[in-house]
Amino acid sequence: MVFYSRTGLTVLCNKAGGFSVSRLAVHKDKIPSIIFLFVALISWEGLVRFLDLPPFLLPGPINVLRELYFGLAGGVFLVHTWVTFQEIIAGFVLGVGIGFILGVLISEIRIVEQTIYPYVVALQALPKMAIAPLFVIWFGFGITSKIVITALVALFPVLVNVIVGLQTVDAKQLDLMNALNGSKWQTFRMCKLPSALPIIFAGLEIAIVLAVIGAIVGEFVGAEAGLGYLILLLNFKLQIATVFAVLIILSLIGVLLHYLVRLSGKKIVFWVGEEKRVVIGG
Amino acid sequence: MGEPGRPIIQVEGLEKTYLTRTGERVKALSDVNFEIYDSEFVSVVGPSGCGKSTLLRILLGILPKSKGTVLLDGSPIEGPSNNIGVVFQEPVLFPWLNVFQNACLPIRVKKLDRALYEERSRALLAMVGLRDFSNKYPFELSGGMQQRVSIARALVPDPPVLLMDEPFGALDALTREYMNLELIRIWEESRKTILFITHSISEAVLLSDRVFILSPRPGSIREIVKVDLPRRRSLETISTSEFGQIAKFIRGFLGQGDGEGTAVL
Ligand SMILES: Nc1ncnc2c1ncn2[C@@H]1O[C@H](COP(=O)(O)OP(=O)(O)O)[C@@H](O)[C@H]1O
Ligand SMILES: [Mg+2]
Repeated sequence: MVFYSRTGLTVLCNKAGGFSVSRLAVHKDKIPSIIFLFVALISWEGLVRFLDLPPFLLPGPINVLRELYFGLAGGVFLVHTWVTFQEIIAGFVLGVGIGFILGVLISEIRIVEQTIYPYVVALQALPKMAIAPLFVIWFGFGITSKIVITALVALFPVLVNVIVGLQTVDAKQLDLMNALNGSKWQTFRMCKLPSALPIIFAGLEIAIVLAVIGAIVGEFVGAEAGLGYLILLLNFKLQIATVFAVLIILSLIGVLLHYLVRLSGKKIVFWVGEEKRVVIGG
Repeated sequence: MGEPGRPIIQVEGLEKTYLTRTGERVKALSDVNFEIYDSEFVSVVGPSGCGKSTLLRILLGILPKSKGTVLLDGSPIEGPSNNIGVVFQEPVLFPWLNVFQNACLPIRVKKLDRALYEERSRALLAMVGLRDFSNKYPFELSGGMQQRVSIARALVPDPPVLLMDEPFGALDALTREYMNLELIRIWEESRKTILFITHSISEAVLLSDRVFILSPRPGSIREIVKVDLPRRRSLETISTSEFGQIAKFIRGFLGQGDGEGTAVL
């Protein structure tokens, strides 16, 4: 399997657990970035040793990898990863659900748009992290407050993209549904929603990235467990190498989830990008 | 819809004025009067922008008129009717549905009997030469093939009235010829009432009982030309001198300035 994301982070692995030459050959364009990674890691390690930097200032990559191994083997990382993962997934699902429903209601029902849309716009401008402390007070130090915060940050890109997506439907397609005597619900289900899907999925890609940030910042504000909580704790104890190890886990989660959303988007809105290839004639 | 010779579409004093976003008024149709009879094939020709598509959209019931009376089978057209099928200028297919699903869209929307109409849909796709393309998606088809899907889609619910807005404009000459002959066959077999908008004078003459010539904007009926060529028409009809005379007569109304009138069949 070859995972790669727009951020340029590349993770290569296959079932056998080693690099597969044929697959590597397919992704020849990835080789420069992999070489860069190794060069950067070696220079980093060299720099740390040469300047004799103390590990609480900047640990070298070997040190970090060792901490990663011990953290994983000892099970500590897994416990906290599982907590954060739950927060991200639950928050993402909740935020996407609410964002989608709100977006549809605002787009399709005039009175809803007139009543709540101005407030939605105002709320969107508000930095959501600023209200995070409130949620900790309302929902406690447990997982709930983090899910709510995550949902709130994941909600807006979905909401906005649902509204934009539903507006960009082709007028000619609406004419067709109209001419076929389609009901409002049929037009929504058979025409507007599928038309909006590519833009909605673009929103989901943003939402999943924000969900990871939301969960971590939520944990920074107040938590009993989770990778964000762990980072704060380790920072406090100046165990910086372990902080770096946690950051690696966090980026892997981010890249993996983003990749999954992107992949399902490509599978579901398969027609995007293909339409422009239409040949005129015959 | 019953006996031939009975008016199916009646238009009287029809006027349409668009209000643009900038507050401008664009008069697209002015005092349009005509009747189309049951099982009749009528073509509409006229310079670009004279209101042909506007007329079609009003008859289709998806665009409100400004003035006048528009009757379908004796009752005013106030919205889309299940008795009218349409082929737009562009194919307007859903990219997320394959060819068969696109053709079957009216079945889903109108909740028609699946088994019966899906069979019909298959037969129509075969008729337009797309039997082997049922599972393809629109983006895998050429523009002409897409338009043929949209023609099959219009015919699937078997509407007694068919409105077609320059449906063959995007087709190459050979496919267009073939589609013309198919349309003649469909019309003769099903006795539908067809209103056919076209840029091609020869196409209009070949297909129609009557040709409506519209004046430049604001469009109104300038002349109605009866095409008294014998049925059943074929490609040989085009080479007769009567055909040439009628085409020439119609071209006379459209003038030289309108290059579109010169499209070949
Ligand atoms: N929605 C609209 N708003 C304003 N003007 C329009 C609109 N649709 C068409 N028109 C104008 O009405 C005239 C007739 O258009 P149309 O019926 O599409 O012409 P045709 O199909 O004969 O080429 C044109 O001048 C066009 O610019
Ligand atoms: Mg037109």
